[in-house]
Amino acid sequence: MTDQAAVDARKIHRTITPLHGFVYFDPGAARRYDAAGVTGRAQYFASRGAALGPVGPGPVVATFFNFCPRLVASCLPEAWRHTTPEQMLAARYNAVHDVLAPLFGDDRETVAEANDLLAQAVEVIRPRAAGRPLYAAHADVPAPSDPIRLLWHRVTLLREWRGDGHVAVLTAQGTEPCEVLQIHAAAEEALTAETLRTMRGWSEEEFAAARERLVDRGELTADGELSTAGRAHRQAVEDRTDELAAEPWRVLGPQVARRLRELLRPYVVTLVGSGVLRRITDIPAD
Amino acid sequence: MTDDALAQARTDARQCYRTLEPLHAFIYFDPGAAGRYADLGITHGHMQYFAARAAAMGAVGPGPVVGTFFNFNPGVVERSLPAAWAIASPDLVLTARHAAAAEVYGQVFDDVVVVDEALDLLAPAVSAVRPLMAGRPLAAAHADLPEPTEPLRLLWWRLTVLREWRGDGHVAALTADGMDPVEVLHTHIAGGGVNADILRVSRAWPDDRWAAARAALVERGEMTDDGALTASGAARRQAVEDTTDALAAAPWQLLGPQRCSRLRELLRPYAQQILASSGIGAMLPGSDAR
Repeated sequence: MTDQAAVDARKIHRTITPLHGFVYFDPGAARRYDAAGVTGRAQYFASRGAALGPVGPGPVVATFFNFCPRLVASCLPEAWRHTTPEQMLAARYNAVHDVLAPLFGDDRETVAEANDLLAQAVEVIRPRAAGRPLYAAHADVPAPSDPIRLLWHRVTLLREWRGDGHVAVLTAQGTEPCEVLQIHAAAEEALTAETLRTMRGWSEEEFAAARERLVDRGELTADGELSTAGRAHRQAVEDRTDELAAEPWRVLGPQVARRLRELLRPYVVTLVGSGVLRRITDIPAD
Repeated sequence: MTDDALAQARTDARQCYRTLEPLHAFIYFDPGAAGRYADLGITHGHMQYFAARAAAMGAVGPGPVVGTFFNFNPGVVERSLPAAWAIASPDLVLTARHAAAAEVYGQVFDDVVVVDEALDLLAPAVSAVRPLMAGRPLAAAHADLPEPTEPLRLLWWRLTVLREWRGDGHVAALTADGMDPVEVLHTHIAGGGVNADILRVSRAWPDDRWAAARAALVERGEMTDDGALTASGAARRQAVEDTTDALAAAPWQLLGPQRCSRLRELLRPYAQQILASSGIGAMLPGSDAR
C-alpha cells in the first residue's frame, strides 16, 4: 500500500528545501555574518547552529551529521567569541527577508495563505520534538511577526524536523557520514564524491576507508557505482525518512499538501532560477 | 567480522551496560550532588537534573534537551532552561557535578590498582567512539569536555561518555521506530524492572497525555487493557533493544569479550555497592550492576 502522506512529505520536502536552503548560499547572508564578526566556513555552522545556543562542536557534529568534526571544531565555539547566537539569528532572518520580500513582492495573499497552511503543519509537529534536537531548538526561536520571516521560520521548522528524522534513520542504520556522502554521490549525479569530501571537510584517507567498507559490504562496486544492495539500502533510508516525516500530511490531508506546493512552487522556481542558488543541488544533502 | 563475533559484541554491549550503568546514574539521585547544585542556587530537582546533564552542551534552551533526553514533558524542561543558566553557568554546574561524582567514587573505590586497570580498559573504548559521534549529540558534547587528569574523575568521565553514546543510539533507535515518548515509558513499565510511579512523576506528563498514550498502545494492539505488552508490543520493544545493542557494540567489539568481562569483573563490586547505597535499583531498567 502506498502511504499517500509519505509521498506528500517527500514532495513537500522537494518544494520547500530551496526555500529554506538558499540562505546557505546567499551572498547577502554572508555579508551580514561578516558584519556580525563571523567569517568563512564558520558562517554555516554558527548560523544553522545558533538556535542550539552558544554550543561547542559536539552538538553540531552530531545533529548536522555529515561534517568532519575537525572542520566544526575549527569554527565552534570560536564563533561565539565574536558574536552571539541571537545576533546570528537576527542576521539570518534579515538576510532571508532581503531575498524573499522582493521574491514574493506584493503577493501578500499567497504569503498569507501559505503561512496559514504552514501554521497547521507546524502545529502537528509541535508535540513531536523527542529525538529531534535541531528542530526542537528552532522551535524555541520566537516566531517572527513579519509574514515573510514567519514563512521562512515555519518552512525551516518543517525542514529541520524532517532532517532530524533522517539523521535518526541513518544513525539507527549504523551508517557513518563518509559512507552516506559517497552513497549520495553515487546515487545523485549532481555532486562528485570529491566535492562532497572537501565541502564536508573529510580527509582522503577517511573517505577511502569508508569506500572500502562500502565495497566490503557490497553496497558499492569497485568502480564506485551503487550496487543493487546499495541502492536498496539507500531507498530504505529514504522511504523510512518519508514515513517519519508524514504525520503533518496524514493529519492535514493531501489537499493541504497539494495547495501548499501549488502556492510556493512558482516562487521556488524563480528563486532557483535567480542564481541565488547556483544549482539547486548545492543544497546540503542532509 | 563474522556473525558470531557481531552477536558477541552486542551481548558484551548489553552486559557492560547492565554492570556499569549505576556508576553513571547514581549522580542523578546523589544527595551530595543535589547539595552542590543547591549551593550554586539551583535548588529545584528537575532544574538540577536538566542543567547537570545538559551542561556539557553549553547554555542551551529547552529544545536540545527535549530532543536529546527524549522522554520528558517539554513544559517541565521549559520551566528549567534556560533559567538555570542565569543562576549558574554550565561550567560551574559541570564542576559541581564532577566534584560530586569524585566524592562518591572516593568513598567507594578503595583500590588504586582497580581504578588504574579499569581506566586502561576504558581508554580504547572511548577512543573507539570518538570518531562515531554523528547522530549522537549528548555523547559528542561530553566527549568535547576537557579530559580530567585526576583518576576518579577520569573514570567517571569515560563511563559517562560511553553511557551517553549508547543512550544517543537508543534515542535514534526509538526515533527511527517512530514511537511516541510517553508510549515508550509505558512499554518500559510493562517490561518491568522500573518503578512506574517514580518514572511517571519524574517525566512529569499530565494525566490525560499519560492515559492517551496508553490508550494508543491498546488501540494498536501492542498493550493489553491491564497494561501488559502483547506479542506484537513486546516484539516492537525488543527490536528497539536489539538495535540499541547493535548500535552500542563498537567499543566493546574493539575490547573483545575477554577485556569486556575483565572490566565488568573489576567494576561490578563497586557498581553493586553504589546501587545498594544510593537506593536507585528501581530506576535502572536493564541494569542491576551484575
